[in-house]
Amino acid sequence: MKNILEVRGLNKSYRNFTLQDVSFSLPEGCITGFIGVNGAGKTTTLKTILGLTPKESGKIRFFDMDFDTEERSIKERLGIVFDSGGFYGELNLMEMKTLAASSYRSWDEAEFRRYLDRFSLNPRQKINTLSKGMRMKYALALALSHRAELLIMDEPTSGLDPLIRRQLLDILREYMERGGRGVFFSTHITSDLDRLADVLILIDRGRIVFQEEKDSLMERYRIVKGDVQDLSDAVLPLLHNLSRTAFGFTAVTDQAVSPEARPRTPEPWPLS
Amino acid sequence: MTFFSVLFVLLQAFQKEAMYPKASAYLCALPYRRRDLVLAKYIYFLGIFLGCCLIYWIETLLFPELGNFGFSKVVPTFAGVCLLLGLYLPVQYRLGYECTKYFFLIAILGCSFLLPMLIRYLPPELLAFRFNPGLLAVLFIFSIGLLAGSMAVSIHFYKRKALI
Repeated sequence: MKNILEVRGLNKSYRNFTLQDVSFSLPEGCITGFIGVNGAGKTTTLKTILGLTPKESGKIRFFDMDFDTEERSIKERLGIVFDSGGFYGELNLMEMKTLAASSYRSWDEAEFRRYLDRFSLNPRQKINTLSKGMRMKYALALALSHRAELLIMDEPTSGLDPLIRRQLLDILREYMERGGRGVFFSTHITSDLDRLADVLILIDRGRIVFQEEKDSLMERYRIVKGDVQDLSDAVLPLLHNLSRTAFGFTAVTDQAVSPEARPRTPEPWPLS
Repeated sequence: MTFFSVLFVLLQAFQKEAMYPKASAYLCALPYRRRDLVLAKYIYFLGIFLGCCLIYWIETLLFPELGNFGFSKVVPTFAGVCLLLGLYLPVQYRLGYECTKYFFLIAILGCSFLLPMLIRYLPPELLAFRFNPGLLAVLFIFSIGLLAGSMAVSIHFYKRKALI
């Protein structure tokens, strides 16, 4: 499978935060979730690979093209959705569309109109009167109306109610079915990943912890719950992220499929 | 009058732009080059200047007591605004609007208070000075050169700026 994005040895330092040797790749035809707690470096990574903050070192390649030398051609093929939209609030939807559309050679006005109708967006409405959910739909309409081959989204579901989140996930699934080549979205809402993502990349304190297929992670890891009395010295090393309460314990284990580990731990629960 | 109108309109525009810093980041994430965005700001300034000149020229036609409005007034005004903006815009791109807005405000207020005082104390022969066409052409070319240099420096700063 070809990679549509490859990041190698990306470094970027701020006074209180550093991206250290960030390397990962996005396979074609996959929805990739970029996960991490707030402040882990998700937005910084996204902004650095889009050239919005200058990198100190590292290589970024989209569609086998070097970002440093072919930035404009690459951006033609990207759809961008930022957390807060990133729009001029005092413009109406059509005015902001004109601003965005004139940067693309392959802008499809009919497609944009179809998305506005589908999302029940009034083209004459001012952006600062839109709800967060409507603003996200508008951002998606802009991102999907120029035949983007890779959608890059920063926290698209954050702050949205469950119904709008589900609609958003449906649109992404539909985009992939229609022949989109990839989606890369950052989030800290794991239930969205469960529904949608094929591959997960975890970042923590500016370092990539892992990049794996979601299904293999789901097979390997389990949430285990049980009585505190079950936590013997033999069991403890098998558990991660252990939390104890008066009613019992909860932890994650990567030994759930191991027959030796099972008798001493309670029945594993699937990751949800 | 044209001088202050241009500065006030530009100040309003810079304020509006500074209200939406993420919008600049969004535009730069699109296929626009950063150079294009800087260039757009300078072209916007030229458009505003021409618009203000046109309005003032129409006013002088409607109210002849305002005096003539020809190249002998347009070019020195253009040179004054170019000098102010040519210095201000690169600093704004380097330090951001918030750090530099007071400079612009002080420049506008300072000019409106100091110029009448200055005119009172200037020797009359200096006030009666008329630019000949050759001098006007030199002043105009110098202003355009200053603006082009300022734009190059602004582009240099903006290309390296981290957008939030």
